Amino acid sequence: MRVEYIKRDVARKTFNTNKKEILFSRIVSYVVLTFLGLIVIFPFVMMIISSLTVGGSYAVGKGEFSFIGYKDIFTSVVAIDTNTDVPYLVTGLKNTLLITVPSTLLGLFVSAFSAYAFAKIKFKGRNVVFFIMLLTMMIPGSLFFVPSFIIYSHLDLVDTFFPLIVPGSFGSAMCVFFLRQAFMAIPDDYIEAAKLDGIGHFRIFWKIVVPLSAPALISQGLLGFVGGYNDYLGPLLYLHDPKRYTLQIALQLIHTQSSTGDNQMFLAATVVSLLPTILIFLFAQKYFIKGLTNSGIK
Amino acid sequence: MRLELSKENRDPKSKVHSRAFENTYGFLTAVIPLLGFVIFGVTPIIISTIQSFTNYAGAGSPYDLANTVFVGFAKYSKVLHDKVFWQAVGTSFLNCLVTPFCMAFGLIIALLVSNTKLFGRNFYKALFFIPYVCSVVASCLIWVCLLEDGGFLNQLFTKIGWTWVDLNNPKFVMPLMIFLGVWSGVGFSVIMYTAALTNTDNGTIEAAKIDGANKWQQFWHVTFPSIMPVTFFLLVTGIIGNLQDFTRFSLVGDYYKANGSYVTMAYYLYHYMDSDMLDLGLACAASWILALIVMIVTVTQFIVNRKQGDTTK
Repeated sequence: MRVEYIKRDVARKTFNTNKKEILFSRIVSYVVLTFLGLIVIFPFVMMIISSLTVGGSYAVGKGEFSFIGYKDIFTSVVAIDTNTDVPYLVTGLKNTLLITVPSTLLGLFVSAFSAYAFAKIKFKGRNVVFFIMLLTMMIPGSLFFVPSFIIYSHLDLVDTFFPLIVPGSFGSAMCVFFLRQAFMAIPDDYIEAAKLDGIGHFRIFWKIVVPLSAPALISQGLLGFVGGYNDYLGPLLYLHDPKRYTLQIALQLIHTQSSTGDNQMFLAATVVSLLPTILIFLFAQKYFIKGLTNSGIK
Repeated sequence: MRLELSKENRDPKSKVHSRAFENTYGFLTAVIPLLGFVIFGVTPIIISTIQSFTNYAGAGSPYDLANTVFVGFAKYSKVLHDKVFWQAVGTSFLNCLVTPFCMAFGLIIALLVSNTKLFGRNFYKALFFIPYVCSVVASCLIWVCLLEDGGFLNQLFTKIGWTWVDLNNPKFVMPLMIFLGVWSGVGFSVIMYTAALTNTDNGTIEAAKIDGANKWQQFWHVTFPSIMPVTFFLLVTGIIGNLQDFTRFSLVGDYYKANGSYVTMAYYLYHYMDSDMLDLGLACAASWILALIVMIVTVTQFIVNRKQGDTTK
């Protein structure tokens, strides 16, 4: 009661200044957000304009309007693997999907089942194992890539998809961490009730936990997919045969091969390569944001 | 009652969930990702440690230890006496400036868009996040197309007399790389901070308001401490990532461009995996030095954070 009274009192006193202040802060907010937003969006706008201008980013405002860049991706000599006559972008997209889809799905499944064990099975040494898993996240990734390359090249696994699919299929500690957080929100009663009915862990996981935490799983899956789709370092290290190039490598190749003085085709290829991720993001925005914010870091 | 029942396994049907079974099953399931780490993480680390003490260059089998010549710390000392490496260390540490900029802009944007009365806040949130889902190849190369000699922005800047906007100019490299890092990374900070701000207790802020705290005091004494864990998380992960970054640098420049201004620590070791400079023993030694630097920086952050936590208590 008293608090309410004081609140009203404060509100009355500051009413006039508040109104002006709110208007002022609203204007400042819009100015700052729009200014920063323009910096973020500017290169994308320029990319689209350039991809429709003969001469690309060198001739914006001067060059002719044309869709030829988009046609060139599939016909130009520099954008086609001369051995197979398939455009790099097509090979790239095919290989990227061949790598990313299985490794994301398998990795997500393994991580989720492991997260289920951490969240819902009370086994001996659970905390120790979890702590060790968290510790592995602290080891800098750059420690692995030279020796991994040595090992794979001596096992003749360079220029195969093995190094890009198999390690990822074991799931990731980060994913386990996020999913464990989501699974812990499911009441233990459900699990206990299912156990009483004699249902095994895998069926509990598959029939109860997975449906109940679908949003978290979808968001982790999407983040994993986009991460794989955008991966550049892995394919750069392990795939040297043009037939095995992924989309990102193909894009980089088209950039270096396209003639100086005209990057219209390259920018058209960039637009095409960005479309899938940006569309996925726009349609599944809430999952992306959920996936990052369900972290339990408060 | 029900819980007790299941604990004692009185129900004949629930024999599947006996104590011993739970222990093995739980452990085996939970440990699969770790198993992946042991196979694809620990093995490379062992190989890397051994090879960093040998003169292994890339020819021959890395497991053929009988014919391996151990050279002690020779590779390490070669790295540590290389001027290029120390320049790379400087570049990598400068590159860490990306993190505080990302955090500052991320916090400002998050504070603005978390005002529920702001029209179009979701639009802005999505806008800042788009660079985060774009590949590093696409985002770096778009900027290169705009900034390289003859590109749209380069022409524009030349017209107004800014001739220093040049990808070959060593003085321009770091500001550009930091800008690129912030441009593509700020979305992540925005999302993390927005989530943290929606989780802050509004009651405390109301109480502070009634006590007569101004906006700045409200922010500094109530909001900021409550989002401290996210700040720490962004700082640690950001520094780890930026210390080891090299794709951004290798895409915009190359090893020899602008007097080696584009060479970071990770780029340095990657260079020795390349066919013309092949020296995998040296690359292993360099990757150990890089890993140690990253680990020291990370542990220092944790210690400082712990100490600060103690003093505020």
